Amino acid sequence: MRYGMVIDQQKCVGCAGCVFACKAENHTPPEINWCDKIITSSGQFPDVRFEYLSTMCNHCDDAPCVKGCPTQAMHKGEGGLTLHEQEKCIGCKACMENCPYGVISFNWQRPHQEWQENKGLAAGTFTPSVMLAEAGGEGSPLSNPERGGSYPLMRSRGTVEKCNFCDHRLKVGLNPVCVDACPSNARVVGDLDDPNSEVSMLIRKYDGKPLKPELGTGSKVFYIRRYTPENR
Amino acid sequence: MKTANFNKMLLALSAAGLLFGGYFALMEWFVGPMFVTNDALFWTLPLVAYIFLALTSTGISILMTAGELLNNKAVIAHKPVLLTAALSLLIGAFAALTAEMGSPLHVVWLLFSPNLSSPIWWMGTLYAVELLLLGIKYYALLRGRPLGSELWLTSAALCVAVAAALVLGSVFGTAVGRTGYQGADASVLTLLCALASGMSLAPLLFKEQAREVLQLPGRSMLAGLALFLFTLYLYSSRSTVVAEIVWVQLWMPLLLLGALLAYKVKPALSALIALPTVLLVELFFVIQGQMQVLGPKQTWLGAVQSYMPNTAEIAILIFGCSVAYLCFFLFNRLALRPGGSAD
Repeated sequence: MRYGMVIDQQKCVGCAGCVFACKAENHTPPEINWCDKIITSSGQFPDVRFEYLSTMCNHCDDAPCVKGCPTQAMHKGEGGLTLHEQEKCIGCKACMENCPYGVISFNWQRPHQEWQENKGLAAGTFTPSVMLAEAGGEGSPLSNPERGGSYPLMRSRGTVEKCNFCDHRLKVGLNPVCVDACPSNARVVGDLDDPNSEVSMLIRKYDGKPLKPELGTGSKVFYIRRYTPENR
Repeated sequence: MKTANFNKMLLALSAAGLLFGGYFALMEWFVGPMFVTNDALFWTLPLVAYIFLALTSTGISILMTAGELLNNKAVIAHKPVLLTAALSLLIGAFAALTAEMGSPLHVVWLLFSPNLSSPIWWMGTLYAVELLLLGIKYYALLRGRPLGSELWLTSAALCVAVAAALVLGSVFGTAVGRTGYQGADASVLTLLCALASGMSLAPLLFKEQAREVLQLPGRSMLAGLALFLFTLYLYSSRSTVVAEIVWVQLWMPLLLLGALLAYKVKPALSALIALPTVLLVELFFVIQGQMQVLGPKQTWLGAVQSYMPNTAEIAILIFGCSVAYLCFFLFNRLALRPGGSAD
C-alpha cells in the first residue's frame, strides 16, 4: 500500500477550499499552511496566463527531509506517508533545507498565541482569551480534537510541521480533508501500488507528472492535464 | 599598547560581549524569535557564527594534532595554547548554536535519536566527539603528564577534526533542489575555510621567534582558499543556470591574497583581514543557497530573498566569540597557573 494523490489541473478552479479545509482540520497556525498554492502569472497583455497550482507535502518515496533529519523526527510511516514526530524535533531546520518543494514550515512563534490576548477589538467586546475560555479547545477555539489523536494540536515553538495526508482520517477509511472539501473533485487519493485504483488509472491515462520529476525523489502527488512541470 | 593592557582590554570587551550577546541568547531561548528569519531564509548569521567558530577550532586542532604526530618541536612547545584555543573556540561555537536552535537542550537531544543518513547528525556528533577528545587532552595537560593513549587520542582528534569539517560541508552539499548548495565542493570549501582561518589565527598564539614553522602551511592554506574561491568565481560568473546565484565576489580571493602577503611580516594584520573574510565567505555561501524561494513560499515571501543581519544576530556572533575568548582566558589561566603542568 502506497498512498498517492492526483490533482486534476483542468478541474481545479483555484478556490482554495482545500487550503481552508486543511487549516480547520489540522489546526495550523494562521501563518502556516500544510496545503498551499503556487500562483504564477506569465505572458504579456493580452496574451497572459494565470496558473494556480495546489501544493502540499509530496510524501516522497525517497524523501530528502527524512534523510536529512538528524533525530528521525521526520520519518516514513504506514502507507509510505512521510510523517513528523513533534517530540523528537529539535528545530535544526534540516528538513526545510532538504525539501526541494518548500512545503515544510517552522513555528517561529508559539502557535495560536493570539488567543491568549486579553484585549478586545473595542471596549466591551470579548477578548480572545475570554472567547477561548467560553468556547473551549486546545490553544484556540478552532482546534479539532480528532486531529489531536495522532498529532499534537498545539505544536511547540521551534519545531517544524507539514502535511501528513490526514493520516488520522486515512486510518478510519476517510479521505484527506482536502480531497473531500474540493468542490470540483479535482483531487483523488488512492493506492499507487494498485494498478486498478483510480489514482493509478488517472496517472496512466493522462500521463501524470509530479513536481520536479528530475530530482528523482519519488514524489507521490501527481498532476494531470494542463500541467507543465518544466515551469516548476 | 603593552600585551598585558591589550589582554585586559580584550577581556573587558569579551565580558561586555557576553552580557550584550547573552541578553539576546536568553531572549531567543525563553521569549521569542529575534532574528530576521522566515520560512524561506531560515539559516542566517547565528548559524554562520557556529560554522565560523567550529571551523576555526578545527583548523587549530588540525595544526596541533598534525604537528604533534609529526613531532614538530615548535608546535609541541605551543600545544597548551593551541589546545585551549581549539577547545574554547568549539565551546563558543556550541554557545552560538544553542541560540540558533532556540534552546541549549536541542543541541543535546540531537545525539539521542540518531539518523545515520543525516549529515547534520554526523556533524553534531563529530563535533561533540571532538569536544570530548580536546577535553580529555586538556585534562591530561592539567594533570601534568600525558595519558597512556596520547598518540591514539591525538590521531583520533586529527581524524575527527578533518571529518567534521568535511561533514559540515555535506550538510549543504547533499541538499537536492538547491542549486547553490549541491555538490562536493561544499565540503572542500568548509575544509579550506577551516584550514585558512585556523592558520590565520595560529601566528597570534605562537611566540614571535617560533612563527617560522607556520609560514609555508599558513600561506599555502590562504592561497588554497583564494584559488578555490577564484575558480568558483570564474565558473559562477560564466554560469547560465538562472537559479544559481553568483555568491563568490572577486574581493574575497583578493583579500585572502592580501592576508597571505601580510602573513609573515604583520601576522596580526593578516589575521584581521583573513578571519572576517572567511566569515563573510561562509555567510555569503550559507545565504545564497536560500535566496531562491521554493514552492508555495514564493506566493507569500516573493521569488527571491535578500539578507542583512539585525542587531540580535550580530549579538549572537559576539556572544559566541566572547564565550570563546573568556574560555580561552580561563583555560589558559588554569593550565599556566604557577606550578601548573604547562608552565
